[in-house]
Amino acid sequence: MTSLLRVDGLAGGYGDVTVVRDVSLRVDGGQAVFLAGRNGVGKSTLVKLIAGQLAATGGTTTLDGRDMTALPQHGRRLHGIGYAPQEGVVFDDLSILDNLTLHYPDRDLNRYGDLFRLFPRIEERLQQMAGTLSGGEKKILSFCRALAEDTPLVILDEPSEGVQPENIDRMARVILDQKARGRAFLVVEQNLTLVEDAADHVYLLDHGECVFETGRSNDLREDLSKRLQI
Amino acid sequence: MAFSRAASVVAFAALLAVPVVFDMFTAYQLGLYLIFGMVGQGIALCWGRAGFLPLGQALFFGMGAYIAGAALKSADGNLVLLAPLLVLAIIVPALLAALVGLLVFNRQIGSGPYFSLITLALAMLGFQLANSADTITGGFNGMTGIPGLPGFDSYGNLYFVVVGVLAIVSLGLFWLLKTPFGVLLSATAQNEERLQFFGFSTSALKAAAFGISAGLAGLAGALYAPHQGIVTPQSVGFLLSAEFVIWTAVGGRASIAGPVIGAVVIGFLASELRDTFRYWEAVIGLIFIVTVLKFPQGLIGLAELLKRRLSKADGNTARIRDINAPAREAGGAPALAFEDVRVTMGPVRILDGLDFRINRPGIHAIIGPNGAGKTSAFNAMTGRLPLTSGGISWRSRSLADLKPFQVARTDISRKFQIPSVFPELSVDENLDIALWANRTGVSDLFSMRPLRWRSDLYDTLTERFPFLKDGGGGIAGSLSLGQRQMLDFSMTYLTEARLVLLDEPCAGLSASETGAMIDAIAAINSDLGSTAIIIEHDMRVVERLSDHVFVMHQGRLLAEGDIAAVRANPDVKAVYSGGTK
Repeated sequence: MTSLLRVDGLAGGYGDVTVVRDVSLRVDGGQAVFLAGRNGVGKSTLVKLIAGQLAATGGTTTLDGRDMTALPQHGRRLHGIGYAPQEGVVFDDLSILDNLTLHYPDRDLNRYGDLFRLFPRIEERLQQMAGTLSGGEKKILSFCRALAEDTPLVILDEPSEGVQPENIDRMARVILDQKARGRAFLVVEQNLTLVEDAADHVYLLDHGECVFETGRSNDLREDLSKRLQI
Repeated sequence: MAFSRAASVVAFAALLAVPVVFDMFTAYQLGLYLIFGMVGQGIALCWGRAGFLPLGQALFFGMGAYIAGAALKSADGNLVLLAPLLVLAIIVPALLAALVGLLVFNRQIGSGPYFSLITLALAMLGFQLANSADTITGGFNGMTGIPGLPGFDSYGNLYFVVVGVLAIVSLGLFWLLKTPFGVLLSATAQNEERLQFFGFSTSALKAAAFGISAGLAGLAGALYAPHQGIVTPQSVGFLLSAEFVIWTAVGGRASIAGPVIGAVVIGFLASELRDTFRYWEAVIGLIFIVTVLKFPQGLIGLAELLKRRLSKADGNTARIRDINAPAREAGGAPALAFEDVRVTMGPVRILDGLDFRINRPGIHAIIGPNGAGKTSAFNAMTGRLPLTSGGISWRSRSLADLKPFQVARTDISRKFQIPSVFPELSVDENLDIALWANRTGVSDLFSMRPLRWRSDLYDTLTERFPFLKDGGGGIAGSLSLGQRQMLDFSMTYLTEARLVLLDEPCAGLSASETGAMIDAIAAINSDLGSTAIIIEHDMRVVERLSDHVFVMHQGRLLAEGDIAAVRANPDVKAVYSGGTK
């Protein structure tokens, strides 16, 4: 079976500094793959390379058999890589409504129906400027926007940061639901509860390299906790 | 450092040799471009360091030139009379610029574009005035017949005066940028709001930088008048102002030598092309465009590249910190009161009658669902969110209507939800700024001693988070989000403020890092005896750190008490349960 996302020998970083070295991973349709690791090991840099926000210095990224490596971020989005970054997640000076609809010519909010039922505060505050939201609410807004798009792959970088636990549970439910419909997820996450709830496969990174990988198991949380102490 | 020093010595030796190697006319021409370069150095101080672009610098240049011209004409060679008048050519533009800067920058953070346009308008106004004030400036024809500096020939040894003044100005700027003032200017450009939360008035810092740059322009003008023997309204106008900016950009706006190199290179190029190529201005324009697009650091950026290739990386050498930072006063008992605080934005009630009090030291937690108003409560307290009604007081002083830097000066320190550091400064410099907060007087800002400050808390923090010391020379922006959280946290506590506001200090940290952060908060807050308020979703953090919890919901207080009491509260259960990582 061909994986939806194939990353082979990917390398890159910032200027002269190489942060990610020779990382290979696979994400299949209907699968949620999580990236774990301590801070500073290169998780966010890796997803920036995959999403096209940073240019790779080595390796390849293919989506559904198509080579994405030379494409910029917007090109990859058009081909099906959705991305909710860790920082700078919303347009502060636009309303929540504009944040949700500016990229849809029809400005139709119906595509957010299920998400609004889970996160009603977003719908209640449509006219509010996004910059006045709390950090957790901005993350939820960014999550909703990425999930409502029609990309076969969604990359989420620390979606639960600053989000209250009930809402993290709801995020896990959305991911599980969309996985069941064949959508693929690549998620950077520190919150082991979310990893435990939603991950099919976990890659553990250290010093820019993949040092361990595992599938779902009953002792996943314990196993990762031990390894994250390294 | 050694490379730069050697390059500077060689450059100045070469400048001194120009009249011998070439001829006096070449030296005369070069002298003019060096004078223009000095104006560019002032622009670079504002633009490349402090992050705001003055577009009308010719106003101050022309002002200095007119004052110097009038002084030379009226003093008639009397040095006793001339010297103080020439000083006015520097001081008057500097004071005017500082005043304009204060008026503009006091408005709000992010007033840069307005500032640029206002300076542009002022230069145009100056041009009109110079044109119309015939009796003072000579009007359209300019102020003519200006004698040279006594004892110096415009086409001869005045060149050496220009080189000497340039050397002094360059050394002065080099020193200035090394001082805390220089570091704070860079910090202003990178994260002005964060700097305010350390108690620094960024508008005063920027106004001071603008004043210094105008003083330099005035000094250059004072040399220009005897050098040229005539000052015309063009010396005040927009065109020359734009040229100053172009020379600065082409040479390198982030360096001391760059603007001088830009003025000299473009000056000689224009002088050669002017007589030989009809569209020479287009060539200059093209050079400007290519430089800005391809070499944003200007020509000096190429030299930097060469320097990096020739010299080995500096590495993260540990900074010597051997001077105790001034001790902070212990202060009295904490007394924070929110009284029926309401904040509305359009139809949205962000805070809706928030009312609570904190009267004892220790760590207090604010919890609640997303959007409950927790961060907004911090914002209302620290001058980021104007109150619609109600009041907030700290130690009997109202915090309403205070700007963030004024709030910080009441002994309140704040850590933001998203780690907020100065990304292009080194980790050491980030820590310096925190150590300087509420500890520096004006004289400290221009002394090298604060760069060696340490405190017991600094030692404690660098032991807990070794990367702060081991990687102190590294750029803060290259740290991971988690490390930036730790740096930001350390900076917040290094101020040793009596009230510390921590907005989700563990966000973005792994479970083990969260554990380390909890230990750090508990130990350091206890050592300092501070009052801390922490916003947190992770109940493990709340349980471990705080014995008193405030629960917020929909902009107001829903419950308060110890952790067990709020967990048992049915109202709290209905809206929020909390969790752990």
